Amino acid sequence: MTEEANIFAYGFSLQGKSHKAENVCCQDSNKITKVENLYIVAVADGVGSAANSQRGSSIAVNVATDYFSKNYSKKSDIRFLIKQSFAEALNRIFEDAKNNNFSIESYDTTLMMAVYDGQKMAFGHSGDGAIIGLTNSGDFIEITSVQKGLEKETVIPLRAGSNVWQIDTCDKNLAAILLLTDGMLDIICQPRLKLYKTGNSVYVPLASYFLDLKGICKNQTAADVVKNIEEFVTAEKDYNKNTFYACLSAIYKQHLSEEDANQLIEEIKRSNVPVDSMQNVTDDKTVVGLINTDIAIENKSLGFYKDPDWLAIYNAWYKELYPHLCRNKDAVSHESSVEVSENEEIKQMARRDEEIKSEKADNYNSEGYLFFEK
Amino acid sequence: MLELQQERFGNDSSAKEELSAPNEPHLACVLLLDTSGSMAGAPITSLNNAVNQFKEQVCKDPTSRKRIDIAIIEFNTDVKVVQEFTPISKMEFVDLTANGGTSMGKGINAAIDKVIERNQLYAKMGTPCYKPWIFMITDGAPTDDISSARARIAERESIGEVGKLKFWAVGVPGYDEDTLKSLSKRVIALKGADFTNIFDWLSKSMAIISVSQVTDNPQLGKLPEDARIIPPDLC
Repeated sequence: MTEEANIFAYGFSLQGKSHKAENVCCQDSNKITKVENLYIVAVADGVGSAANSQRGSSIAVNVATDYFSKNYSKKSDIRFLIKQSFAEALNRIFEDAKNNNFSIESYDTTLMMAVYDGQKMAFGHSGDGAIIGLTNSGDFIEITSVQKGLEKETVIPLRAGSNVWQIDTCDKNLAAILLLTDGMLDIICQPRLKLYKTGNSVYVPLASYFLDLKGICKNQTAADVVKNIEEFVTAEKDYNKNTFYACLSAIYKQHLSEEDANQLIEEIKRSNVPVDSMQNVTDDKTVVGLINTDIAIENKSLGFYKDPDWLAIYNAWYKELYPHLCRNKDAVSHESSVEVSENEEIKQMARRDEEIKSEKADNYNSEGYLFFEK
Repeated sequence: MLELQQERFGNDSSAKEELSAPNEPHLACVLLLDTSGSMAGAPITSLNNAVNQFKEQVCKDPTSRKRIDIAIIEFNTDVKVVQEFTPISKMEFVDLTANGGTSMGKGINAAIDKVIERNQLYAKMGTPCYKPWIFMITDGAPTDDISSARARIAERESIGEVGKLKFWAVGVPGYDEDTLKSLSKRVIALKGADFTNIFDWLSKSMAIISVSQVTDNPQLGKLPEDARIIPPDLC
């Protein structure tokens, strides 16, 4: 582990729209603490159907981080200590349920915990949240796998036990890490992106906003940066989207020429997927970020930062779900392929544009695919 | 490149909404319809009309329109998939005809296979999904063995805390009450063979489900005057 790094830390657990409407409190919890040169963060998502899940998630994050902090020494086996912290959190939940004559199921919660020194990270993970990281080379990586039950409809909670918990270390050097509950995960890591690109499902504009904050931190006070992030995550109906795009622009200008950055931001602004997605989340939202501001992250190519081709993604998804409505099976085959070179992409877009122009003004063509015309 | 993409996106907000469909939770609903000989005449005409109106009703609700996939399976002597899972807005006009026996067991098994396969596909594509519905309408007693269908309904409805299936059995005069009660906790008896009101109730139920969380079990609306639940208080 390295010498003490300059870490910018933030974290929120915000009540979701569905819970606001039903007057149910936010069932997520998070905690950030520090021991020596290590940041210890925990995030828990109380299971919606469990009556005492808010209490469960609160106990989980507090006990896990406290246990780790109190028992840590330089000689500690970090992974073992994380496992013990999870076990202690579960024990305390059992005790609380027993003392209050509630079932353990009524306290169901997930739990994630990360121990980060500014480069290396060890973690524990249980449930349907996720940890994603930004490597020094500029890649966004999904570090954990979502743990869901049969047919992916139910979450596997903390009480599933140590055989299910994922306790591990990340072998890459990480300039930043982000812990997310499922409500946030679904928009930052979108499975539909795998229909379009190989590798992972991380939506780069949103991941950049939360993990690659150095560009913003240069120009704003820490308090302002945190306030901006919180306003964006809250995403009220009247949220000013230009605030988000100004921040994203500052981030992109670290890696791209001003002209390229401006072009990409205009494109993303037009689809407005980052802001629309954030406003459409109805679940509670928890996001915790740790950013090592000492690291100079390597630049990637222009294509890496651009908005994906949502139309191609939609069509690939549509074709999988409704093949009987897509008579011409090759209509979008080139769009669902792996990342292509930029020249080839330009040609493909031009071809698609020609196809679109030949269709009627209606959004759907005869194959059932979705098109847009100005 | 950028300009091309901008042009294609335009400012069409409804189209943008469509693009978010892969991330929207989906509800797979199978209409499992008895088209045996006893449904001939006014009942099958009413059923066709009600199914076709059902599409229009559901499509009035913008959320339901994005989230509901409908498949139609008919059973008489044989079982036939009339329509594969289709977005409700793309549902085709139906014109069912009635003849033959009542292979209810085979029909139910086909519908269960269909919803399992569908939810697995949603999971594979990263599209969240609700507990699927099978909405069966029948006016008679089965002419085949329903024991495996009965066992599968019970199994699917009891998986986990909230089950993996919601099976509804709607009986039209002439139906076998004991058979339907042995299949499901949710049996609805219609007073006659007019399906307008029950499909109206179904469309409203779809709207309620489609704005809920996937793990919720929301309270549905009151049944129409010409329908009653058997036994009561279980829907």
